[in-house]
Amino acid sequence: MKYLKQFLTILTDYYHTKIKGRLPNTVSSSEVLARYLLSSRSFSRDNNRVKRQAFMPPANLKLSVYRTDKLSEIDIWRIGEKRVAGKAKPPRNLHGRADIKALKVVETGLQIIPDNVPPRHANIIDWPDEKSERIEVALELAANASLALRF
Amino acid sequence: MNTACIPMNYRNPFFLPVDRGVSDTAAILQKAFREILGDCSRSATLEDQSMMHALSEAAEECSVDNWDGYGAKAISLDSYRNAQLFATTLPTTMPLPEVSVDPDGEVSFEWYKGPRMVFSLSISAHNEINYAGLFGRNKVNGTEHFYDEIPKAVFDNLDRLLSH
Repeated sequence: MKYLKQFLTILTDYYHTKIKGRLPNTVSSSEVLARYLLSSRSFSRDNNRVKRQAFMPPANLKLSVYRTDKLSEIDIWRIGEKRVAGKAKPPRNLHGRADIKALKVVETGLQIIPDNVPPRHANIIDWPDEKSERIEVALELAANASLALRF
Repeated sequence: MNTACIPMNYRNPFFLPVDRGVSDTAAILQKAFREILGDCSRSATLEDQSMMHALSEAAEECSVDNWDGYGAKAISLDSYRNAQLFATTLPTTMPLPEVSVDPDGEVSFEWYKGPRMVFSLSISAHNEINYAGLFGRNKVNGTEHFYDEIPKAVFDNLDRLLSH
């Protein structure tokens, strides 16, 4: 019974990521990207907004996002729980996500490079060298993003 | 006739003009001006400690690497100390900012007034302030060094945001 459950989980995952979630190799401007929020400092409940911290890139200047087109809300949250919060070390609570249109990302001069590792994953790259410019870009992205809270 | 004014090219909001007149009324104005300045230049954070508390909370929450789940660096203690100093230079007339930490471990402050009306800065371990703001369709960014008072460029941008 235990193995059957495991097999079903793998099968469900495969269906959601490989079959149902198949996307073109290039990101279209109308696609929505999700940045999963694992820290309460990256959003404000008071004024229901995403803060720039959600979009500040890490040291390697690759901002991790997921392509969420053609997915249901349940499936979008499933990716956040399993692929992001569950994989963080140590595992983190998933507070919410910042949704942003690919067009808004490209308009700031950044590029979206899908790598599909894991499926639907992409990196936002081409960040400016100067930190003050990165802050400005992150503010711009946050201003164009919408906040979806988990609870 | 006696007057009190704030000069156009003021160095900071607490600038005291040198030429203040010699009459009794001028002396009274001067005394009143000093009292107002003394009151305004008291740090908000020294009085209610709420910002120091927010800083301390941020430091605690971000004290280990990967606090954001995306590989962020732990808070830089030097940045934290500089942020504490910066906090004490904020005047009572200014709303308290939201405190956070960047993925590179630098402490950040953000003043939010509404959609596309926001100013944010990060304080580095080396007394560098990197800032950016959105003022409607206009945007600014820059870098200033911080010693013991708010750099004029930073203050001007805060003034632009808060007086809007």
